[in-house]
Amino acid sequence: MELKNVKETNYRILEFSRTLVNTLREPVIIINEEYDIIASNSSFYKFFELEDRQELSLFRLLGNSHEIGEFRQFLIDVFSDQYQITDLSIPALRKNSSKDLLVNASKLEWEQDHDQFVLISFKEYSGLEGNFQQIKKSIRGILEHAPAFICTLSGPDHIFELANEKFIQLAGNRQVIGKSVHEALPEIENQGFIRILDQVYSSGEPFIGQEIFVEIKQADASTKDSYLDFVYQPTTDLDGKVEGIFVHGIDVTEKVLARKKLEENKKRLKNLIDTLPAIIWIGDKEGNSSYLNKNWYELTGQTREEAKDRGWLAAIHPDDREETSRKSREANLAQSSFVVIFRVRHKDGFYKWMVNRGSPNISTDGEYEGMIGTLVDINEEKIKEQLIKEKDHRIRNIIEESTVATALYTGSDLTIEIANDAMIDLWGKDRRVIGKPLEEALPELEGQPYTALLEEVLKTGKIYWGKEDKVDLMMGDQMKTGYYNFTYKPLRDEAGEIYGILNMALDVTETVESKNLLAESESYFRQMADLMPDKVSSTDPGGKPDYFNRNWLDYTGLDSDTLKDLGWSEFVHPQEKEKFDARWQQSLKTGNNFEMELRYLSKEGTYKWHLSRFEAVRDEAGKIKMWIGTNTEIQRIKEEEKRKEDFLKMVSHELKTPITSIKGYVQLLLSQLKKEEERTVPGLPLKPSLERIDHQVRKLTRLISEMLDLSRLEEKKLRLEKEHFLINDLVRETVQDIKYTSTQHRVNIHDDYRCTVHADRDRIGQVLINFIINAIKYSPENPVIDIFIEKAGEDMVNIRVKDNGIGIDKKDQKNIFRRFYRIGGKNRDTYSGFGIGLFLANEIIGRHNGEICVKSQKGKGSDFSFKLDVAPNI
Amino acid sequence: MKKNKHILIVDDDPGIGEMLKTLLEFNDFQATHIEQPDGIEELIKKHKTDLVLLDMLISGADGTEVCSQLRMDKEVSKTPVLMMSALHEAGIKCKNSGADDFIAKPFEMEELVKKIDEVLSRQDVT
Repeated sequence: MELKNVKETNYRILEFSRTLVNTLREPVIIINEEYDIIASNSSFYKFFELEDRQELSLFRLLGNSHEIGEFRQFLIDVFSDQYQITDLSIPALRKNSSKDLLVNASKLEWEQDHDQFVLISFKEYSGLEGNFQQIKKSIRGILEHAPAFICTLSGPDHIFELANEKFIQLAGNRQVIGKSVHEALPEIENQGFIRILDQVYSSGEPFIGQEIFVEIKQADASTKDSYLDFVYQPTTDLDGKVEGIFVHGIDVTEKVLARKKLEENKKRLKNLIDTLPAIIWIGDKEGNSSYLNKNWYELTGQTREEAKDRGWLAAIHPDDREETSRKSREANLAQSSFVVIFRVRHKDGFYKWMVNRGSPNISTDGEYEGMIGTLVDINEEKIKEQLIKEKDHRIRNIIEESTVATALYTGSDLTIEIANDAMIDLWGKDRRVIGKPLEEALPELEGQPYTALLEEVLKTGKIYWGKEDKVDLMMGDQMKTGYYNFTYKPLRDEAGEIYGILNMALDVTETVESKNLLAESESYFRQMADLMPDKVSSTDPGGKPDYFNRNWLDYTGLDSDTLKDLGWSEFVHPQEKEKFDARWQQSLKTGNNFEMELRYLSKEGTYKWHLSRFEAVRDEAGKIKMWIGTNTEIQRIKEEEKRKEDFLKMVSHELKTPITSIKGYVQLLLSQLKKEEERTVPGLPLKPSLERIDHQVRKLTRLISEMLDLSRLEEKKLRLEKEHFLINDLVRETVQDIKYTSTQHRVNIHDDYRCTVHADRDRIGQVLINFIINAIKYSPENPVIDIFIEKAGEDMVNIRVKDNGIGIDKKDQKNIFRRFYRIGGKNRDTYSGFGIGLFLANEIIGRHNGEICVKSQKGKGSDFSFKLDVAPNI
Repeated sequence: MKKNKHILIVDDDPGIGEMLKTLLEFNDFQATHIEQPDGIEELIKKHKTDLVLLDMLISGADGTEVCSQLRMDKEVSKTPVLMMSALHEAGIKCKNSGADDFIAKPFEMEELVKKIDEVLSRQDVT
């Protein structure tokens, strides 16, 4: 056997050593002081079952078993001082056997060399060799204090040889040493222990008993029940023959009883949880299902075998399975609670929503034993939730699509949950406000009442209706005021709790502004109406009064409401009342304007004259909306007019009186001259002079009459005294009259038509005189005047006075019948007159329902005419 | 025939009263002028007056009232009354008070004479 790299050794020593070991049958080696093997036989390798024969280091060869330490110490001892050690027992060094070894070592010394060598031989330790009694003694010492009960029995009768304290206690403190089991513990004979001991003794096989029940009598004659874990270990003599039994064990009574109790509890718990409506599960430390109550199996139709470990996952909806599995695994690793919601397949094929809650299952001694949990059916809730989600989605859609500005606020901070575009536009913001609390999204609301109103709605649950509420909103960088109609409607969950507010708003700024404008203009109107000296009132289309101005109230001394109730017609003087009622009703019926002079009773009890006018206000369709009326007090005017009339009357009376006298004398003189034609004073044109005076007196008389007529006309007091007469006669007479005074003009009458009229003869005559005198006056150059009496239409007569005078401008023609109108121009002042003649003529003809007409051309003469109804022949 | 007829003129204006008196006398009537209606019944009786020419507006008295009184006095109620006035539209009022006719001032002499003749002839017929 070649051993290389050994520390330089005397060749001869090496040779000798190898020869020596090869002669020996036992496993033998020789080592040097470095514990390198310098010689070894093949038995050594066989004994240790070593393959690597190249390894020189003994310790490397034997490996790093902890028993090496003891062996090394032994070798150090040999090298240092002891020459020889025999039969040292050391624990198992070998990999293949647990048996102890007996080692012999002896030092080899050569005179010529200082090197030391040791020869070591190994042998299997085979039992009680050496000083057995001594060992026994030391064993007893150890046994006495062992925590387990230990005893040794010897011989086929199982005589107690040794028994420690614990065993004696177990045996009820009886004296057992030297006695057989049968003698010492007779009560266990029937419990089968002696038979087992016999078995172990005869077979040499140990018996291991676990939680074996035993009844042992105690010193006080009672029986103690115990559960024992124990081993009957046969002991053999050197020849391997069984000579006794080593008994050791522990009392596990408490543990067993506790466990039994626990098991019972668990069983009871299982029964209990089987009856629960929920599904209960228990998982083990590895996260596998160790228990599911019967509800699970009933629900899923799974068998216990199918649900075992992680088989229950098969009953989870595929979409939920992964999450469920992951969550339960994670919770198990973290030993923490978890919740997972999933759908479980019912045995009928449909799925049910369930919530699974698991918590770590910690034993009483604080050890984690897995998870325990429940599965609760939340299908209805989940479906409801689903429905709510769908509903919510739908509501969102509706809100988003709605053109009505809508927003939803939730929570106590009024977070904008939803706001549609219309609402965002209304706010003048963008979509970033969504998700923000209202306070943050619309900071300008601070100082306005809306946040408080919203909080109030949240608190009371009462809807708030905003009606044309004024809101200042920041639009871009400008604060704008708007008016809105809106609702703050509390939203309640199923439990009736308010969780938010629905805000729907309508921008009515334009309406309000126009309303404000309207109100403003109305107020202006009222103010104006109050300031007016007139009594202003308005009525509804039916004539029911709804407004009276201040003057009305002041005049009647009543308040607005009373006056509205009474109506102003109550204040009309009885003399005008009937006429007033008739005319007012007529106006209401026809929609024609109302105008009348009447007296109203004042609060002082006097009547005052008023000009009452009412006009219908119509809507676009022409329907009467209301009547507006003014009543102008004309009392003073009336009085003035009366005075004026009285004055004129008196003036004309007084003027006429001297005229009457003058006229009388002139006519007297004229008639005397007629009688005595021959008595003319030579050179004195007495007759023509008197005739001129008479003519002038007539003219004066007419002027006075016209003046009076004018004033009466204005008061509409011109009364017609109608009679039937032949119009041709009137024309003739009138022309005759004028002929007396105007001799140089020729007036031709053309009686183309003869007829009777029903009219005021004097007034019509007045018109004729006017026409003829005008014709004469304005045709100084051409003295021919033609008067035509013509048929006009079916039943009218036209009387036309035609001259060839200066004519009238077109623009003057329409004004010619107006009061005091006189044609202008350079010649104006050359023509005298009041300017009332044609006005009177027009009025007179108008009152006869006739027509007055002028046709003229400047420089070519004029045509004045009037038409009257022909009276039926009587 | 006219020479027998007596006309009593009542007019407060002497200018008119005298004119009328002259004018009527020129037309062959007997005429008496008084400015006030006081004692008119006695005068009518005294002169056996055939016609009273009565002004409507006599200072201090209303001619229509005088006319009414005459009509109520049995002794003179048959005496015709012709009223006159320069007042506008006084005719109706006068006729209502019992006057036989009315003539507006100023008037044509011929017209006055004509009216007087008419009234007197009506009186004669009755």
